[in-house]
Amino acid sequence: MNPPRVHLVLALLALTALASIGLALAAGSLALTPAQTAAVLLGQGEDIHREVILHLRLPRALAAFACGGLLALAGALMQILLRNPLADPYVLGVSGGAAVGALAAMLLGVTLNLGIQASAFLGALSAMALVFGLSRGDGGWTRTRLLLTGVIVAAGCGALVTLLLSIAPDHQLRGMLFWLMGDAAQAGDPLPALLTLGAGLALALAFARDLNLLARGVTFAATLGANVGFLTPLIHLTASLLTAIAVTSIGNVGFVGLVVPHLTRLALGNDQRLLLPAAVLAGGALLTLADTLARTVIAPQQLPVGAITALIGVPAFLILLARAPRREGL
Amino acid sequence: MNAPLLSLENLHVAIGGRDVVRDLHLDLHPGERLVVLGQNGVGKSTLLHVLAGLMPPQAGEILLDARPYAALSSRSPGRPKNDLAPTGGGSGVRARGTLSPRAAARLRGLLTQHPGDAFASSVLETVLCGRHPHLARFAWEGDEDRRIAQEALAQVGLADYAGRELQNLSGGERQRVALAVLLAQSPRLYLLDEPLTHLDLHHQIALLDLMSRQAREAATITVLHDVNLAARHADRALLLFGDGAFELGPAALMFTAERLSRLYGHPLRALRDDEATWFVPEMGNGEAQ
Repeated sequence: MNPPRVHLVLALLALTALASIGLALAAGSLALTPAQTAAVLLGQGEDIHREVILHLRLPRALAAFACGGLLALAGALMQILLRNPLADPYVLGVSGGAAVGALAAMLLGVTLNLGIQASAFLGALSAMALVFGLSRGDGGWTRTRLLLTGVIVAAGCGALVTLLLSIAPDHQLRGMLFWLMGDAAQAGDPLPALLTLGAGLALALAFARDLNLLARGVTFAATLGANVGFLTPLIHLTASLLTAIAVTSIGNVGFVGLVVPHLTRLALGNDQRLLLPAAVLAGGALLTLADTLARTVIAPQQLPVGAITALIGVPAFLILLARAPRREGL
Repeated sequence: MNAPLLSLENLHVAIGGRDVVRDLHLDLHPGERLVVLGQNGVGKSTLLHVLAGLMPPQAGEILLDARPYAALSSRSPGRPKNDLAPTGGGSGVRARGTLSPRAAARLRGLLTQHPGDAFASSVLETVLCGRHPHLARFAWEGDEDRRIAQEALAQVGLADYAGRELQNLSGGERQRVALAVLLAQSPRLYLLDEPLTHLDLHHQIALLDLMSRQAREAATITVLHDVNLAARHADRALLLFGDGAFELGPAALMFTAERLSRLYGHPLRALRDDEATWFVPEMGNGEAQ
């Protein structure tokens, strides 16, 4: 894979991502033609169209895109950090912490969206600090120890979530379940997620070749000049923070962070210089598309976007896996 | 006299509370081949990792091309300014500054177990990893790097394997891919940890010959278990006895039946022919020892 081909692939993916956002803007109970959508984006169009697109659909589509990108990037980084194809952004307990924070806030009667998000972010940061502190406390860091610490913290958060659900009054349960499955309706301002995504991707790309080495082993990377002692905590913190921002915005959308990096890896190989930006674009496009489906398939009823991502992702993944017998061992 | 490529002063290495070496002094010059011998678990691999700058020693100093490794700490990520400066050498005076991981990787390479294979990868991609320390941060591997990688593959007899998947190779073939990575890295000091693992007889000899050719300009430190191959490959030998004690000297002095018997805790006999001396272990006659 050389730079011209990489740029071509990324340009095609960027077009796909733009198309998914365009579709998200046009589709809905008020269906718009491409011409009407374009008119609004160019600063013209009817007022009702402007209102629907600029205040409802565009922020939501951008939030879905940003969070899909964040989760895919975080997942790709976690898979390198843990050198485990089964790792996803949630494996180290970040999303569990966010869920505890969000549900606790809901249970305490917080109805303001911003309050729930703040509580979720606090929960995510607490879980992240706990895992980071426990797994690196004395400087002796191993993958197994990190993985076990993360899995245990995640399990603890899972137990707390179950507890919160069981004591929650009936009228709050539906909102809680939607949060747990991921729901872009509550995303709010997409700007923080977009900025985090840009910064995270820029940081990861600056170390992309080092990450290629790290994916093959810590000793291998260290002998070839990667600053492993600096790189591993950096990846851990970056991936955790990206995940925290994503789950704070749209809740625990599953599957994107696990499957999108694999899809891109199967299709494009494991060079992080291509894989990371490609996964961001593909993850963003997938979540935007899934969210559009979630709010249109049986409109006006809305479905949790997490269920849709799995329903799209599972068959896509299985087809690609079956067609790629050459790449064994993922 | 050239400046030493590797210089060890008062080196003390320990692992798990056991000394590997105490007070080791060693100057290794380009063109020298040092072989490290010792029983299982005496810390041969640990010593190589310390010499590669991957672990700090208990005490003492390691100078690679007259410069020490940068401190190993997750809290000091700073890259020294001289990272891209040409390395000094030849003058014998200690150059200023420490070696960043990247700068170190241009000077020394370590052959360990196989390059990891949690994720699929082609042989050529793997070998190109060796070019990492020679490339600027955002640079891509160019035609020259690809040529070097192909040449490295040819040197280990895998010229036709560039497009193959690493996962589909045998243990011995992967060991040779790992060696090709090291050749593509083209360091000046080769640290080889049991490089003959998984290799058949022909490839064992081919690898040692290849390393001897490399050692005309570079230096090699090789951990070996086969004393006869070691005796023919070594200019000098370092024998580790497992309690911090060691013996270091020219191969002719180190390879005696008495020393090797003591080293391995097993009687060896020396057999001579016109060409060389061969060491064979005394065999038990099937009875418990």
